[in-house]
Amino acid sequence: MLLLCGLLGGALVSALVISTTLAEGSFQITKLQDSTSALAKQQQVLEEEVAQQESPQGIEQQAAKLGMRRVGELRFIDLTTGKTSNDGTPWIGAANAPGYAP
Amino acid sequence: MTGRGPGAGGPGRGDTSGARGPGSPGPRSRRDGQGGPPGQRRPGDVPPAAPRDPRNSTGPNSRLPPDRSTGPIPRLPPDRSTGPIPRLPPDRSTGPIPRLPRNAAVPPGGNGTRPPRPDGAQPASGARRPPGRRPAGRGRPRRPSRWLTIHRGDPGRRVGLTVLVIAIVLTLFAGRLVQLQGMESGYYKQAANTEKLKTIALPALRGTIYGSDGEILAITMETYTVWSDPQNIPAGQLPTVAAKTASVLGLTTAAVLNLLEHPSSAEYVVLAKNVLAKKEDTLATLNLDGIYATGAYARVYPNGTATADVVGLTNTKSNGMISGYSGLEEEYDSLLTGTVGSEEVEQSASGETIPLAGTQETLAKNGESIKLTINPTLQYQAEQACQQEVQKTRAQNCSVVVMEPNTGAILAMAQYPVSNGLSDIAVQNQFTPGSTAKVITASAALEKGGKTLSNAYSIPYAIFKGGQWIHDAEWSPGEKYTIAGIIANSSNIGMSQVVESVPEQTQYDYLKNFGLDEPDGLNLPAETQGTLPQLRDWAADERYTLSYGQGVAVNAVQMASVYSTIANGGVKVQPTLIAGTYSASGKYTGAKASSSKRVIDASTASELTSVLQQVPAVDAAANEDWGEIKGYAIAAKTGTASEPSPDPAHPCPAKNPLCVYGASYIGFNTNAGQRVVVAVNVQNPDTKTDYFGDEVAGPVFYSVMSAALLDQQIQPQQGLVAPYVRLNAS
Repeated sequence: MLLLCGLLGGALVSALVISTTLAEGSFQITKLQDSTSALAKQQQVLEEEVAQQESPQGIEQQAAKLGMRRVGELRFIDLTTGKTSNDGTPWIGAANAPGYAP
Repeated sequence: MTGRGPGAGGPGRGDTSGARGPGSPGPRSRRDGQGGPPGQRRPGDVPPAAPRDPRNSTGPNSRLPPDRSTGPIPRLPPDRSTGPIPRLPPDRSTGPIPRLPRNAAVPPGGNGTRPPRPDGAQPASGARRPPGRRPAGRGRPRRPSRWLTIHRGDPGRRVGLTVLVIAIVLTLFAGRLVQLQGMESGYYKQAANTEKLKTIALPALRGTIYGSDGEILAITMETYTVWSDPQNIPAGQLPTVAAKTASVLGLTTAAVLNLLEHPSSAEYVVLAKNVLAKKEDTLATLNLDGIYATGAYARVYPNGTATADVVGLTNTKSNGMISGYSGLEEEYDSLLTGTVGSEEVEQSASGETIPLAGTQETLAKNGESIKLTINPTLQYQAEQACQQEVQKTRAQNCSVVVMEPNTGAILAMAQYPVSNGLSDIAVQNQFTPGSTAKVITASAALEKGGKTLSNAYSIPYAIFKGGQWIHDAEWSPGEKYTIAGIIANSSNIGMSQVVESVPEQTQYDYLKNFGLDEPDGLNLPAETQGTLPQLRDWAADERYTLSYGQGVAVNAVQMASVYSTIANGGVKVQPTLIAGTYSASGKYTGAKASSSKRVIDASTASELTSVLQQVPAVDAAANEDWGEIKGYAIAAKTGTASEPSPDPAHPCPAKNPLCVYGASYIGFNTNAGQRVVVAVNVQNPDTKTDYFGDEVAGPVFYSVMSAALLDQQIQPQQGLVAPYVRLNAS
């Protein structure tokens, strides 16, 4: 009889412990899931922002705000000499060559 | 056991019977009928009782055994046959003791008198029988009946039978158990599982589409549908809530207020769809009553309209799955989609998932991501240039293709007007190439017609070929051009004569080899591969019109590919839009190199390039210097094609059936190092302003080529001089 009571009591206590542990775990899972989704959303918000600022339209708008404008003549600066690589010489075509008649 | 009968039983019986005396006849009469007078019986019983008693020898102390031992076996059958009940009443009448028949307390031999038996047969038996013979004589014949009946006095049999019955029942139970748990377990397991197992689809995230430098062109994100239940908005706060919501969503207060006041149903009205997470976040912090947001995955195109027509569109199915609808989204749908996974979970009766219960999971395989060769910046600039030109010339549309000739990589494929993914002009529209196709005729003549660039032709005002008069787009009276001059000045009359140096078959082969009326290789949805009449269908004047690019239709990519072939030294590399793919785990795999084939000799390509290098200067001489970019050498060709009206409601006049113009400008840089081909086509510009290729398509070419040279970091060179090529024959 005592043994039976002991077994029953033991089983009851362990069932209680297990269910408490499980409930605790599920609370933690819910909490972590919440924070995961919040962080995922935040990441998405930031990604959106980056993608929009990165887009050519976004860059053009920001550049225009800073008073920049599109390049007319293409120039590259040679960092070793500090000179620009385009001397602005126009392309000399056959129009200037002998025998050319438009 | 032997000792029991005489020693224990005898005295015991004797004692009790003695105590009771003759006054207690009832039970005794039954049991001890055998005995006769106690005194007499005792000595006489001893011998016969000994062998019979063993069964009941439970010990001397028990009072039961003695009674039983006194001979239930011989006596009972008669009792039974006569029925015990009839006998009892007489017993009872004799006193309370008859109730105790089972109890050995009843004195065995106390009663000398026996109650009268109903049948009357028995009473005498005891007396008649000699004590020694009784057991043998009476027991033998009656034994069978003993076996057939269960008797209160025979617990052994009873227990045996009970056990047998129990065993049979238990065996049945066990059998059923084995049947259910063993033989039919599969069925029941399945039946149970269908009740408690639930399959959850694990969605696969659709892959991202990146630009050439990793810019996001298409991505799957959670977007929100903002909706309202106007009934939950406190009365009087409607304007305030509308104003706040409108400011976040970028709508007008009036529009939102109108929706709130006239909801589609009493409890639901959608205020905005595809709201990005950032706005939804802002809205959520306002914590407005009656304003809600529901999230769902949707395709987002942060790069805007510029790449929309190449990337394409997606559909969202009712189950939330996103599938490709047009453009690259459709072409690479299966790659981008991935594989949907599933998870089997056990759920309780109320539908809650049971934790830690065994689950079976097939992981979803996210879609692969694609990296394109498209440079979004260049694409945007090309779109802008197109837009400017279309607005200026009121053209029907403008398309630009920028391509790397050595790899076939398409750096930009832009258009205006944009369609937001509904149509991709560069591959879906076909147009007549016009003079830009003259290089094909020239290639055939140079390689198969025995001609050189300096062969001279006279150019009259008009020429009658194949039953038709051929004119030049721009009048050049009485010139004598070399073949180079014919190309550079774009003389139809000249080209009609040049083409006669090769047979029709050769002309056709060159057109096909350059990729006209062949798939362009991009394999985008709803592509056109243009039209080129079959050789056997050629009319008498077909070869002449084809020689200068009339009577054939192409798409913009095919035309860019023709000039890529020349820019690449005669080798045609199949155009491609895909730089590589990222697996779901992020591993990058570069795309296979595009297939290539030689179309013309390197020398022919080089000769043609030197001729094309004359064109910018020719245009510049006509004040259309769109091919002159300082610091760069450019080879280009203009084209002005005549086409029938695209609008059946406003056909061309019968006198001039090809009243619509298509203006092209296609060229490439010839600097050392990387080359890029830019092909521009402006369709149906307003003829009252301009319609020639150099005038209409030239400005687009100039700005896109400048942008392409900058984006591709192609260095300018100093003191570039075009090779001398004789254009005029004197």
